Amino acid sequence: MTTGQMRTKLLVSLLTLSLAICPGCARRHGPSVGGKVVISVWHPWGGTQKERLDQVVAEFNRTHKHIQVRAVFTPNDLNADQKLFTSVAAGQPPDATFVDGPQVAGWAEQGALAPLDRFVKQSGIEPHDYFAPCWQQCSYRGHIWAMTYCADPNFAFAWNKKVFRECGLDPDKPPTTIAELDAINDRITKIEHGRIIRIGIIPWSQFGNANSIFTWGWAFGGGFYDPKTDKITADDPRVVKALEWMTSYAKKYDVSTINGFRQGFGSRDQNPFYIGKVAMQCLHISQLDDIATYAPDLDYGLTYIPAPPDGEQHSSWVGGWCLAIPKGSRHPKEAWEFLRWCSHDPKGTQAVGRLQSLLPGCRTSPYIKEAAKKPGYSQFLKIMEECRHQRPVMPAQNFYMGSLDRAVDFAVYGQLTSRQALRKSAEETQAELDLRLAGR
Amino acid sequence: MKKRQSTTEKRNLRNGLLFCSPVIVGLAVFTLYPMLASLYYSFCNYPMLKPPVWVGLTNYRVLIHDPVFYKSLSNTAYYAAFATPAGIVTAFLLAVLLNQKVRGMAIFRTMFFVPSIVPMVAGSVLWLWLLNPDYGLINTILRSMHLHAPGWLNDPATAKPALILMSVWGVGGWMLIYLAGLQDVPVDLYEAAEIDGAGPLQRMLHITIPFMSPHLFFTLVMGFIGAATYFTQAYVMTGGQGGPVDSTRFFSIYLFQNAFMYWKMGYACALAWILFVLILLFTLALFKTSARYVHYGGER
Amino acid sequence: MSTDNRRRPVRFATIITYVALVLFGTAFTLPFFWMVSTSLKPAARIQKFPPDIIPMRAVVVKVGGKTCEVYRQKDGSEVAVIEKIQGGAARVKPLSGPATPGRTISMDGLTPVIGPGCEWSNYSKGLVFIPFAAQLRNTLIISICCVIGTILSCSLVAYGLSKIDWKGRNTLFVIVLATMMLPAQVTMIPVFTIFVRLHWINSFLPLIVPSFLGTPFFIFLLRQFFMGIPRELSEAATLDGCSEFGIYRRIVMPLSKPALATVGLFTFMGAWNEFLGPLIYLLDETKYTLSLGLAMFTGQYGNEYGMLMAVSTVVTIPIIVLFFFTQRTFIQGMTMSGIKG
Repeated sequence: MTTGQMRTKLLVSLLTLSLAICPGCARRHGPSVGGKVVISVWHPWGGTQKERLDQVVAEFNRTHKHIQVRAVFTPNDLNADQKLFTSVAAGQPPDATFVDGPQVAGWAEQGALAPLDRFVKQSGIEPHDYFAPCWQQCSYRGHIWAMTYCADPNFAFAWNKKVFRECGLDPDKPPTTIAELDAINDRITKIEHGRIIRIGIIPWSQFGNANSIFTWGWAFGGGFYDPKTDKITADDPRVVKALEWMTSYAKKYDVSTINGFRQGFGSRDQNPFYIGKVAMQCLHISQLDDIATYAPDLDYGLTYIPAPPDGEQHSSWVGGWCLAIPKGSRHPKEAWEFLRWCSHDPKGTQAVGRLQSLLPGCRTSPYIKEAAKKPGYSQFLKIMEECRHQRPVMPAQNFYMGSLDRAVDFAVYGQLTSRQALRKSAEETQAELDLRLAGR
Repeated sequence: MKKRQSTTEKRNLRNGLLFCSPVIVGLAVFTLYPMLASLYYSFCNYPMLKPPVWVGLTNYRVLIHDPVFYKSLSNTAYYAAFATPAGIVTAFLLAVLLNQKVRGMAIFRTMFFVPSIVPMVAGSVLWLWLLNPDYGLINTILRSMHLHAPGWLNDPATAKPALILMSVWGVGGWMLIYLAGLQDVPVDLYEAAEIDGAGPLQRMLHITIPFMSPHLFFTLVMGFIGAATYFTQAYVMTGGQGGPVDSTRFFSIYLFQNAFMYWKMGYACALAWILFVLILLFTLALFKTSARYVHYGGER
Repeated sequence: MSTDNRRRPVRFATIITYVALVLFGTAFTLPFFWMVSTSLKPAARIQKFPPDIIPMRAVVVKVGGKTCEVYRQKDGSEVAVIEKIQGGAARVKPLSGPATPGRTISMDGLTPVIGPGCEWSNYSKGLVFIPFAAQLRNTLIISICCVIGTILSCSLVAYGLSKIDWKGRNTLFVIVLATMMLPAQVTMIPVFTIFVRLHWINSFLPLIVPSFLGTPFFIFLLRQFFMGIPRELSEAATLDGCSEFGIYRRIVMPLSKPALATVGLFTFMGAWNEFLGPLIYLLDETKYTLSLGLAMFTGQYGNEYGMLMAVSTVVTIPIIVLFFFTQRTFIQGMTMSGIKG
C-alpha cells in the first residue's frame, strides 16, 4: 500500500466523518423557544391557499402567547401521504397534521392517529355542535380521531345563465330533475368536426370519477356502505342507474375528446365552466372566490343538484379537511389547542372562515351567520343544513376511492357495463374491508 | 512462479477491496439491511404502522392469481420494449448528428439537452398541455396537417405511446454519454474506411457502433432497469390511478398503490422482489451475451 | 476537377444536417419555450385557446388614478372597465368621443383588448411566494456536495472494478447493479429508520452522505469508460514503479475528464431536481430544496401556473448556461496520442 492510497482512504473517511459529526445540520426544534412551545403542523395547502393558511397560523400565534405553530407544507395528494406514514412508522411524527376527511377512519385503523376523546370531553365539545356528517366523518369505532377544519358541502349546482339565454332557455330555470338536465344538455351541446365547442354537462367530471359517482349515486337515492353490516354496496341498483346515466353521455359523445376537455378544470381561470365551454357544473365552495377573482363577469346561478323524482332531492355530501394528532406526537396538549381553536373556537373558526373563505364544520360558529350574508355562500349553507352524507367511514376508504375511480373509468370507456363495473368494485372493496376488519 | 502469482493476487485483492471500499461500506450500512428487511416483509402482512406478522408464502400465492399483477407487468413490459430502444436509437442518432463539425453546434447541443433539465413539476404540466387532445399543440399541428389527432393520455390505446414520447424527449443525458464516447473513435479509421470505399452507413455499422458498444450496452442495461421501475412521470401524468382503464398502471405504480395507498407493505414487498428477480435474470442474460457484441477498447 | 466533385456532396450533407438539427431541435426545445412563454403571461391568458405564442396581456389605461382594462364594444369603440359587477355588468368609461361620465353597461358584447407584453409579476411574486433564496442555497449545498462525493467515490470503485483483476470483482459488480433493481418504495421505511437511529433526520446528511459511498449508475458508467483505456498505459506505468493509486490518479483520471464531467453534470442535475429524498427527510420549510418549493405552487384547490413556470425558468436557466459554456469538456476525447489501437 502506498501513501497515495492511504491518503485517499483517509480523505474519504475524514470527509464522511466530518459530515457525520456536523451537529449543526441536524437541528431539531427544541421543546421551547423563549418559553413558548413550538409545535409543527403539516399541511397540504399549496398553490392558491398557501398564503391564506399562513395568515390563519399567524392569527393563532398572535392570540396564543404560549404556543407557536410552525406550519410545514408537505406536498400531498389525496391518495397517499408518504411523508407522514414514513415519519410515524419511524417515530418522528409532526405534532399535528391535516388529514383529508375520508382518510380519517383508515388512518385511525392503521394506528397513525391518536384518539381525541379526552380532549374533546375536557373542552366541552358536543357532537351536536357540528353538522352531523362532519362529526360522523371523524368518528370511528366509538372514538373521535380528528376535528373538522372546514366543511365542504359538495356540491352546489351551477349553471351559466348567459349560455342558457343564448340557447333560448330560461336563464332562471335550472334543471331540477335528471330528465330536465338531459333535455337542457341536448339543447346546449354543440359539436363541430368532432371537436366540442360547448357541452351541457360532463357527468363524470365532478372533481374526479369517484367523487362524481358518489354525487350522482346519492342523488339517485343509492347508498355505498352500510355501517351496521359493514357491507359495501357499490352495486346498489340505484347507484348502477346513476352510472348508467353517466355513461349514456359517453356513448353520445367521444370519450377521449371529452376527457381532454377536463384538464382545464384544474385551473383557476381557464376552468371550462368559467369560460362557458361547459354550461352546468357541480361547484365546490372554494370556487366562489375563484369566480369572483377570475371570472367576475360570469353570469351564473346556484341551486341544488338535480335528482330523479325517486331519488334524493337536495342531495349532497360533506368533504373537507380535518386536523388530527398523529400517534407519537410530542406535544399533544398544545396540538389539541390548535385543533380546538381552528375547529370549534368562535374566534378561530371565524379566522379560518374569513381568511380561507371556507365553511366551518361547527354549526355554532359565529362565522356561519356571516357566511350566510355572502353571495353564494348562503346557498352552500342551505345545502350544508340538509346534508346527509359523508364518504364511507371505514378503513378501506382509500381503496374504495381508487376502485370506484376505476369502475367509472371502465364503464365510461365501454369496457364493462355499469353493473359489471360496480359489482367488481363492490367485491374487491368488500374483500379488502373484510381483511382490514379481521385485524390483519 | 506460483509464489509470485499468489502475491500478485493477494495484492490485487487488497487493492481491489480498498478501491471498492466506499461502495462496500455503503452497501453494508445503507442497503443490505433495508433490502433484507423488505424480503422479510414480503413474507408478512405489514401495514407499516403495526409490526409485521409472518404469513409465509401467502403474498406470493395471492400474487399469482392477481389479474392486476399481470396487467401491470404487461404494461411495464410494453413500455420497456418500446421506450428503451426508442430512447437509445434517438439519443444515438442525435449524438452522431451533433458530432458533426458544423457552425453553431454548441447552440444545437444545448437545445437537445434542455429537456432533460426542465424540472419535473413544470415538465409534467407542460406535457399535459401539449398532449391535450382538444387544444394541445401536438394535436393542433396534426390537425393542420390533416392527420388523425389521437386522444393521447385520455385514450387507452395511445396513453402509453404518449408517455414513451415524453421519455424520448428526455434523452439528452444519454445523448451526452454517446457524444463523450464518440470522441474516442479513432478518426483515422474513418478516413481509412472512406478510402476503401465504405459509405456512411457502413462506416457507422462497422466502426462507430462497435466502438460505442460499451456505452450502448450501458444505456441498454440502465434503460431497461429504468423502464422496468418506471414510476414518477406516469404517476404524475395520470393522477396516480394508472388510467385510463389501467392502461398506464405500471408495475411500480401498482406497487406504490399497495405500499402507500392500501397500506399493504408486505404485498408490495412481494411484488418488488418478483420484479427484482425478473430484472436480475434479464440483466444477467444481457451480460452473458454481451461478449458477442460489446468490445472494450482497453481489454486484451 | 477532382476538388469540385468533392465539394458538392459535402455541402449537401451539411444542409441536411442543418435541416435535421433545426427541425428536431425546435421539437425538443418547444416545451422549454412554452415554459418561458407561460411564465410571462398573466394568469388569465395562460390556458387560453388558441394560445398566445408571444405573451399577450390586457391593454390597460389609467382612469382617475386607477388602472383599468380596455375592452372593445360591438361598434368598435373602446371603453375602460372601471369596475366589474357580479352578474355580468360593468361600469365603463368610453375612451373615444366626447368625455362623458362613466355608465353601467352589460359585459355582453365586450371583448378584451390585448396586446403583446410581458407579465413580470410572475417572477417578482413567484420568487417571494416561496423562500427562494433559502431553498436555492440549500439545493446548491446539497448538489455540490453530491457532485464531489459521487466523482470521488464512483471513480475509485469503478477503477477497482475495471482496472484491477481480483477475485470477486464481478460478483461485487453484479451486487452493486442489483441494488438498482429493487424499487425504492419498499426500502423507504427501513432506510428512513436507519437515518432516524443516526439522528440525521431533518438534516442534509441523508441526502449527501450516500453519494460518498458510490452510486451504482455512475459506477457502471465509469467502469465502461475505464475499460476503454488501453492496458498498455497502466502496464507502462507499473513498470515505471507507479502504485495502483498512482495509476488511478495520474493516468486514468486525467484521461477520463469528459466522463467525469458527465458524471458531475448528471449528479448535479439529479440532486438539483430530486424530490422524494428531500420530501421525507426534511422537516423544516427553511431546509427545503427547490424541487419542494416548486411543489408549493400546486395545491388542492388550484395551481399557480404562472409563478410555477417563472420559478422553474429561473431554476433551469443557470444549468443551461452552465452546460452551454462547459460543453467542450464533454466532447473532448481522451487524448491517446502515441497509442495505436
